[in-house]
Amino acid sequence: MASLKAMTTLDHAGALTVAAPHALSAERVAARALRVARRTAYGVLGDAEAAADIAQDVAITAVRRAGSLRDPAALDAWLHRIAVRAALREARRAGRRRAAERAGHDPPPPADDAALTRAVAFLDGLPPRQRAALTLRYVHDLPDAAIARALRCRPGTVRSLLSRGREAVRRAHEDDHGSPDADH
Amino acid sequence: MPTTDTDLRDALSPIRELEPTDEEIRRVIAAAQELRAPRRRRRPARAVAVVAATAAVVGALAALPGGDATRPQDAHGILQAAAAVAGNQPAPGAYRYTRVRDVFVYDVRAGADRRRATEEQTSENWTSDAFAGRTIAGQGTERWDAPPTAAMLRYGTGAVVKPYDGKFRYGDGPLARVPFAAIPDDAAAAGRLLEDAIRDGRWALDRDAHPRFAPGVVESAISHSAVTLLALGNLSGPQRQALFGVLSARPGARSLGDVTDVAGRRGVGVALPDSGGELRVIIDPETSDILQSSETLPPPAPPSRLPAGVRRPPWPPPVSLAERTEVFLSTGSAAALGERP
Repeated sequence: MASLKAMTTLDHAGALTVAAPHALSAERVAARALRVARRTAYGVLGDAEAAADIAQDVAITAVRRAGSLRDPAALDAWLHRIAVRAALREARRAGRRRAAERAGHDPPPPADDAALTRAVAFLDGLPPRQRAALTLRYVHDLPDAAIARALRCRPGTVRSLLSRGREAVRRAHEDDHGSPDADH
Repeated sequence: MPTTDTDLRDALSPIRELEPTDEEIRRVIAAAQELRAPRRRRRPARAVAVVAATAAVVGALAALPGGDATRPQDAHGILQAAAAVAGNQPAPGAYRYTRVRDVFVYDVRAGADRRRATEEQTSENWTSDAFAGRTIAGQGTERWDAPPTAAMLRYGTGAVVKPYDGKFRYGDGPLARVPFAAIPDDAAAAGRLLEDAIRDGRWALDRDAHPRFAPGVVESAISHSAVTLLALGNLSGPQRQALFGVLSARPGARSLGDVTDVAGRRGVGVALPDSGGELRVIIDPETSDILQSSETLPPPAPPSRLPAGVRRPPWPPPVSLAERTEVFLSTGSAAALGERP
């Protein structure tokens, strides 16, 4: 266990900086992919189990395909992109998800962390793309251009998503505290 | 109270703390190694798609009511006809000029009230090689399908409708710097080149954003890139012919028949499979110009389960983007920046 962690010494938000393809060991790719994808999917979906599933799928894909990367420094951008797309895809079919899909899997990490629950509640109720944009900005610290690439949209659209997302969070807070204009 | 960047960053900081366990890392590596082993795979979905595409081509030979009986109505035929028209077009000028209207449609809710807000902005664009050029955009507008409530009005101002005058705005897709001379005149070669370029990110604004390996992503990017190049690229007739050929080779394309764009112009429509949706394109059959491209976004996902005692957020969400459309109001050649055809 300790040996695996020693190979993944990345900070929370920092990019993976590797000098050559051989530096992309399977352990490093798996750890980085699990980290990026789980945080992203958690932000988009607010569901710990679904986020764990997506993180695992993304990480397996990343480990299998990382050898094809011509530029190892592109790993992070690639991971953000496939993680966001997987999370948005899952958001679309969330209502149809069956518990049986997870049968036989190990239980995901516990989601009863009160701070984590409060964090994801801030995003709940927002459209998935707004959640994705806010997660990429405030969890991964990505600039507009990188978020645009991950979401495959224009930077102007990203700014709109972020603006509307922030406004929705603010409104939700106001409504929750009895704003005169509350509609809920 | 999460109202500023710092507040939101702090509020979401617990998500930053999520770390994989060593057991999860081991499990992923084991699963990846297992999947590397060769095995036979069934591909029923592709077989069904081939049968469906064949049936669509055969069935669409009959003209739709109200349409031109001599005009092809299946997707492949529509795109091949557009390719033939494009191939006979004159050589381009120094710049390709386009006047484009971007339309964003939002669902806005406040309590039991629901409205649709439509934001529009029209821009003029001049593109020479590698999408170098200029964009001039005026102040955008916003309109509602019914008078909004006071609460709704607070959601209505978007950042995308401000005036702009500067370098050509290319914000999406993997071909931001494609040297137009590199696009072959042959459809198969153009398709291969697009796919290779998308996979290796050679023309992207930032190579770090590529390659795109997720299933379906490259295929979707090829369609978007071909449409973008057809609409905005300063290309020769044979190059545009090749790009229509690329689109006609996309599996799963379907005809929309004779359609009208949001500007009221008649054209022929084709829907191309997109990741999780459809990219709909309207073509002027007389000129092969792209009149409009659009996509409809899926509705917002329902809220996830919340533990007892946690504040329930508003649902449905107050604002969600429902549709996005680009209307190419005018296209042509220009000899210089700022000159209009």
